[in-house]
Amino acid sequence: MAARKIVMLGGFGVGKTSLVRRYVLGQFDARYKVTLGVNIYKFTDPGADEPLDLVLWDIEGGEAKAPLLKTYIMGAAGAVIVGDATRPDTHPLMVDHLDLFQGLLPGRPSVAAINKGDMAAGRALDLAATPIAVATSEPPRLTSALSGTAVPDLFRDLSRRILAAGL
Amino acid sequence: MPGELPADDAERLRLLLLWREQERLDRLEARILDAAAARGTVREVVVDALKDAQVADARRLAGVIAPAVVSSIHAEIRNSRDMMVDALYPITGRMVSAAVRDAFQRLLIELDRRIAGTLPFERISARIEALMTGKPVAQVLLRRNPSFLATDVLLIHRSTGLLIHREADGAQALDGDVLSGLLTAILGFAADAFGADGAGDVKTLSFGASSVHLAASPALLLALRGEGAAPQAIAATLDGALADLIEAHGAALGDFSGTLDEAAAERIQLDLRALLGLVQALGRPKRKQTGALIMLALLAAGIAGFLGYGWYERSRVAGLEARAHAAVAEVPSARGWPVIVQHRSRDDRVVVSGLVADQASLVALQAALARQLGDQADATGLADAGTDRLAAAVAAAEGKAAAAVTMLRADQQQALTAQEAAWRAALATQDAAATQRLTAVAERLEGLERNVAGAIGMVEQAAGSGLDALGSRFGGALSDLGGALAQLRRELEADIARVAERSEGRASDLASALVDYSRELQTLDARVRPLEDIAADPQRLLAEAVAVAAVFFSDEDVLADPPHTTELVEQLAGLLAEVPGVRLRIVGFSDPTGRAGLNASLSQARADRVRGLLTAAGVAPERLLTVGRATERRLAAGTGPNPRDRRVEFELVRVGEP
Repeated sequence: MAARKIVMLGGFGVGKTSLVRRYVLGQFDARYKVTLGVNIYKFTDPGADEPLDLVLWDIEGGEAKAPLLKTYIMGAAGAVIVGDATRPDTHPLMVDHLDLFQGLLPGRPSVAAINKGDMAAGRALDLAATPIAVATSEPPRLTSALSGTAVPDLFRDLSRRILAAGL
Repeated sequence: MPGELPADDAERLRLLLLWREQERLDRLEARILDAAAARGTVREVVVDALKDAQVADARRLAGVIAPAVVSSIHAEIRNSRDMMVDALYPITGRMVSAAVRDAFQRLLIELDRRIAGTLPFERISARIEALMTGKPVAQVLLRRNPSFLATDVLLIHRSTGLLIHREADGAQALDGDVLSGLLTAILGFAADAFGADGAGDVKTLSFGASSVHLAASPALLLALRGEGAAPQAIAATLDGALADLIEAHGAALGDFSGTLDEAAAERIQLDLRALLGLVQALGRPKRKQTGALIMLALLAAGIAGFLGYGWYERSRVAGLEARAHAAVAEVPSARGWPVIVQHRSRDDRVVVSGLVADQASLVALQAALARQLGDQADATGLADAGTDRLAAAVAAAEGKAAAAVTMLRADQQQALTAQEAAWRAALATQDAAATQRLTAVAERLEGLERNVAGAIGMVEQAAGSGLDALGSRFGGALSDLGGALAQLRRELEADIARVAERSEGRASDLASALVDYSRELQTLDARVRPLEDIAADPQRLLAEAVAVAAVFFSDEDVLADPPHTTELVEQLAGLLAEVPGVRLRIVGFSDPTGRAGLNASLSQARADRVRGLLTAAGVAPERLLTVGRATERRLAAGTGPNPRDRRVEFELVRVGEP
């Protein structure tokens, strides 16, 4: 079966690992564990339109200028760019990551998610006004790794975009 | 790595350059570990610091603070255990190395001592090699054991970290895609950490006894996992293999994006399988040539001794077998029967087996063998074919068959007689009814004649009494009536005669038909009788079937006519089921093309194939023997291939055959 590399990009502690674990293992662990370097998962989504082996690179969060980030991004077919619904300061970083990804791999698709949607209840959050929405003219998805809301759709959308781009 | 200093030289160089720093580190370590000394030192430092800070009664305050500071330092040391271990590694590493080296030396000495007590061939050769090379015997033996086991090899697309193909010996716990990603991440990390900028790459990762050996190009990464001490040539082998892979598949792999076409995948799989085999071969130790020469000399001596002994043994056995053949020749009734003479080396006896005609011949042959060979003859494999008993059984069967046919004929004759009587009775009844009807007609005719005569008398009387006129009127008419009656009587008599004649003719035809029928019945009897005999004896039926049956092959062990073979196999299985004591030999043949050894195995394979079919049709496997006779008993002329020679025939296994 065809295999594709996908990278998870985003600030420190926005929930990249939680999103991957929710999608791949169907699990959520409230205890926070920092990712050092990179974790690699392999997953074939049984609910996807077309079977595809996804090799998910869950990269340590941080600045877009972080060392090694470029090395980890190289060769990816697509990217998931993640921000935190409870920390608006992580939102501009999403654009930095998008710029880095597109600068290294022009034309490769990406999807954006604002995670921890379950904790944002009651907050005024205008997805269409987030920097990433302004940069891409497309509002990010509001996801929750805790409840699983919009998580499979996020990855399936990216898979579809990868296949549509013939990658 | 090329250009790298040997470990000992590097260590000496490091000591030469850094011995002062090392001594200082040692002194510092000794002081830190001595709590009282540490407290004193810290106190002095704290006192000076407090003096500088103008604190009154600085010494007393320092005495109070010092234990807390020392405790903090100890806690820090505990928390930084890994850093300490790294700092101490140069010292402890050398100590561990020396201890391990010493332990190995003592192990080798102990092994040498124990090996010296025993003298199997392998150890003798190891001792000779040890003497020639000056190494301990144990080291020689250890070197001869496999030292490196390659488990799997992975070809990875470096920029994506995706696995192109993995070739493994057995199941591997870690998923190939995940392993590929991790290896590329590690390489990326190493390049970044060392700022290599493509000038070098990680060549080896090791953990315990396992190691991963890497060869990398900008686009591809070749990783080989294994356990044990890797051979020195592994790095060069991997580099060469990667260069070959790039040369052979560079075009297909350059734009790899997660999938590979089937043909390319198959070629890469073959290449990686070959590489894995090559590395596994590297991991096996090679014998020294001197050892091989000694082995060769010993082998030659052994062969010479074996051949000499073999010649003596063959002569002796030939003498024993000749005496057994002489014993067989002494019994004239055993000639022409299959008697096999064979020497059995296990107990040095001559085994005489096979068939002789009858019980008398068997006894005579056993006696002759006892005279010629005494206890060295084993005649338990001999059996008599029972021709005398067979003749009696055949006579009895013939008697039974003759009685049955006689009875059948009597039944048929009786049935024919009854049928004939019935037909005759029916004819007699028909004839009687016809005669009866004719008699009645005749009687009525006589009555009519009588009436006509009376009338004539009356007319004559009337004429006499003067009625002449009337008489002349009726005289002509009466005369006509008399004529008509006479004609009627003649016709009736003719009818009676025809009926009688016809009845006689039909009876005659019937008798003739019966004679024909009886003759035909006898002819049929003559044809049916032998068939009845065969049908009544399943063993004869089986023998008839086996004599003409054959299975032909189009090529190798491919059946030429599968439907016909299925029919034949079912027929043979059915007959075998009716004759429980009989075994069948399946004999395979081949055409003369190709090597003799190959033809022998091919003919055996054909026999095995047919045996499989018969077993599947319900025949017990122990009743089926197979043999391949290659090109014996050819059916076709010439030396070229001919489908008539590619066949399997059948034989009934002889009574008493082991």
